[in-house]
Amino acid sequence: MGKTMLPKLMAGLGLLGVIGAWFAGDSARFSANWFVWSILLLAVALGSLFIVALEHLTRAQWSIVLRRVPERLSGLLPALAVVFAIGAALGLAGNFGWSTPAFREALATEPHLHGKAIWYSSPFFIGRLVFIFAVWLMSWKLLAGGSMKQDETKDPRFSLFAKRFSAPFMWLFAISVTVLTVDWLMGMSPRWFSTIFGVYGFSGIFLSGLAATVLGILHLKKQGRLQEVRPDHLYSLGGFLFAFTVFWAYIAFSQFMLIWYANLPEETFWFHTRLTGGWYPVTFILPILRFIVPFFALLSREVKMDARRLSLVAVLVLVGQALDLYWLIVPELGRGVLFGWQEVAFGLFFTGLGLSLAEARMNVGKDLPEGDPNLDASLHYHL
Amino acid sequence: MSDRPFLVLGLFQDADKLVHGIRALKSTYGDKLEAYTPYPIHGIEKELGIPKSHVGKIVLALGLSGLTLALGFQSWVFTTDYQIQFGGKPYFSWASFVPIVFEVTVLLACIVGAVFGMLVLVNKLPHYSHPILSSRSMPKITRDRFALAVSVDTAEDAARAEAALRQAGAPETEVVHGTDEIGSGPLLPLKPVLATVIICVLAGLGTWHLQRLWNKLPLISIMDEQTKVLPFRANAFYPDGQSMRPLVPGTVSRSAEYAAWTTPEEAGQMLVNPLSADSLTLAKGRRGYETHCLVCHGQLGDGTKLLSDKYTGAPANLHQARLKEAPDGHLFAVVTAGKNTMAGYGKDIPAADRWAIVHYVRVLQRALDASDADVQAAQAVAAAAPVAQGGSH
Repeated sequence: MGKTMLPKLMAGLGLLGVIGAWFAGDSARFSANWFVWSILLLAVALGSLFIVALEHLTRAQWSIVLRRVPERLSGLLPALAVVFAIGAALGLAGNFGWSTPAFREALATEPHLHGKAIWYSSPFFIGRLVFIFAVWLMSWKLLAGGSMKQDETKDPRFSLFAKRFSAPFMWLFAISVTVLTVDWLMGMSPRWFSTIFGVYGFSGIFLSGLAATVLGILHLKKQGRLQEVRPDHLYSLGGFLFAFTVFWAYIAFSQFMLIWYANLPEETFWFHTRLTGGWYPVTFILPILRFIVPFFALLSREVKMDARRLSLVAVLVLVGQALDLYWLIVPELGRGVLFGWQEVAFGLFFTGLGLSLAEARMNVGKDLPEGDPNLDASLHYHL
Repeated sequence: MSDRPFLVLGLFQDADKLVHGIRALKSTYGDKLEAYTPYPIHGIEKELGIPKSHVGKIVLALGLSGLTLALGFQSWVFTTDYQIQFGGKPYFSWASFVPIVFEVTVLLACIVGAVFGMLVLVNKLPHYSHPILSSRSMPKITRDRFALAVSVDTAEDAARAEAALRQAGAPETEVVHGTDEIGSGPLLPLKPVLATVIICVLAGLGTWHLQRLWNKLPLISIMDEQTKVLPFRANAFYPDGQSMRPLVPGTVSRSAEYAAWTTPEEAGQMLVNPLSADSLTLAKGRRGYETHCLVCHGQLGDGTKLLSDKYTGAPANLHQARLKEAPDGHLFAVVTAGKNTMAGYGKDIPAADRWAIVHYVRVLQRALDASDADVQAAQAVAAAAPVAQGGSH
C-alpha cells in the first residue's frame, strides 16, 4: 500500500513547491520548468501512441500481446491537454518563448525574421497548438479506444481499419511533432534554426514512449499480470530501445557537426550558449547519459531480457529525456544553469503526477487485446 | 575418403518435433548431437547445450579497437604528423574525426569481427568440407526438413543411433560416411576456385576493353563549364570582352610600401628604426640575415662569401667604419633597394623583418671586436636571464 501511495505523495509534496514557485514570482523560470516537464509527459504519451500506430501499420504480430500498455499510456493525452492548457494560460502572457517581449521585438525589428513573425502570430500559434492536440486526441480515441472496444466485439475489421488509419497518421504525426518541437523547443530562440530539429524531437519522443512501455510492462508483471509477455518480447523492445538510442546520437551529432563545421554565426550561437559557462558540464553529460551508457548497457542480450536491468535502462532513458528537454529550454532564458528548490519541486510534482496517472491508466480495459485476431501468434512469438 | 560411419541423420518434419527429438536423445548422446535446419531456430543452442558463441565478444573487442585506432590515428596525423588548418578549426577537432571513427568501428566490428569470427568459429574455417554436404538428405535439409545428427564411430553405433532417432519420432534416417579431418577431401574446393579465377579473368578483360572505350567518350566536364569569371579568359559579359577588370584609377595596393627617400643617405636622415632591439627582434633579424644575407656577407658579416670564387662580385664588409657609423635608415635603404651588384630585397622581405635585420647587423658589428666591458655585460645578462638567448635557436 505504501508503495502505491508514493507517487501521490510525491505529487502532493511537489504541488506545494510548485505553488510556492508561482508565488516566488519568477514567472519565466516557472514556465520553463512547467514546459520541460509537461513536454516530457507528452513525449511519453506521444511515443506510446506512435508505437501503437507503428505496430498496426506494419501488422507486427510479436507486439500485440504488449500493445495494451502503450495504448493505455497514450491515454495520458487528455490529461496532458489540460496540463498544457494550464501552462499556456499561466506562462504565455509574455514570459515564455515566442511570447516574451525580447522575442517579439526581434521579430518586429529584424527584417530577415519577417517570415517568422507570421509563423509566430498569436492566432496561428494557438490555432495550430489546438489542431495538433485535436489530431492526437482523435488518433488516440480511434486507435486505443477502438482496440478496447474490439475486446468486446471481437470484430476483426477494426484491425484492418487500424492498419489503414495508421498510414495517414504517420504523416499527421510527423507534422504535429515537428510543430511541437519547432514551436516549443526551437521557438525558445527567435533567431536560431535547424532543419533536422523535428527529427531530433521525434527521436526523444519515440525513446520516451519505448522506455515508458517497458516500465509499464514490468510494473504489470511485478503485480502478476501480463505474464504472457516473455523475455522474447522484452528482447525485441530492448532492441528497439537500443536502435533508437543510436538514432538519437546520430541525429544529435549530425545537427551539432554540421553547425560546428559550417561555423555560421547565425547558427553557432545556440551551441555556444550551451558550451560555455555552467552549461558546458550539462552538455558534456547529456550524450553520456543518452547514448554511451544505454548503448553499452543494451549491447548484451542478457540485459535486454532481464526485467530488472532493462527497467534500469528505461529509467535512464527517461531521465535522459528530462535532461535533454531541460538543456533545450532553460539555457534560452539566458540566466545560466538554474537548479534549485523550484526545479526539485517541479520534478517531484510531475514525476508523481505522471506515475499516478499512468498507474490509474494501467487498470483501464483488459491487460491483453483479446479481440485482436492475431493475438495467438503474438502469444507464441519466439525470437 | 574414409568409409567409416560418421553421422546418423534423423529428419523431422518441423522444428517442434526436432526439439522433442533433441530432448529425447540428450541424455544418451549429450554433446554428440548437432542440428541442421533450413532456417535459424532461436533457442536451439540451449536445447543442444552449445555454449554461448564468442562472436559477440570478438565483435565488441574489434569494434573498440577500431574506435581507438581511428581516433588515435587521426589525432596523431592532425595534431602531430601533418598539421593542416581546415576552416580555422583547431588541429584536434574531434567532431570531424567522428564520421571516420564510426566507419572504422563498424568496419572492424562487422567485417573483420563478425564475418571472420563466423568463418572461423561457426564455419570452422580450416575445414572447408563436411561429410553431410554430400549426403542424400542435404537437399531436404535446405528445403523443409529439420535434421538431428548423432556423431558415431562404428557400424554398431550407427545402427543403435538410427533406432533411437526413429523412436524419437524421425520418420527418415540416413547414415553418412566419411570424416571431417582436415585434408581428407581434395586440397582445394575446385569448382569455387575455378569459378573465382574465371570471374577475375572476365572482369579484367572487360575492364581493359571498357577503358579503351572510355577514352573515346567525352570527358565529364561539368566542373570545367561553370558560368563564372575565370582570369585571363575571354568573357562576353563585359563590353571589352575581357574577364579581368582594369584597376580603378588611383587604386593603391594595400601591401605597397611608401618610400619618400631616393638614396640611402637621404633614408639615413629620414628614417628611424621602429623596432626595439629585444631578444625576439634579434632572433627574427638573425633568421632573416642567415636566410638572405649570409651567402654573400658571410657568417660574421665580414664579406667572406660562401659562394664559389667564380662569383666575382665583392660583397661589402659590414664592419668597415663607414657602415658602422651609417644610421639605421641607411642600412635599411640598402637592404630595400640594393646597391651595385646587390639586388634589392624590398619585395622579398617585409619591412619589419628588414628593420630586424638591421638590428642584427648592429649586433654583428659590435660583437666582432667587442670590448671587455661588452663581454662582461653579455655574461651578466646571460646569467640573469638564460631565456634571453632566444636569438640562438
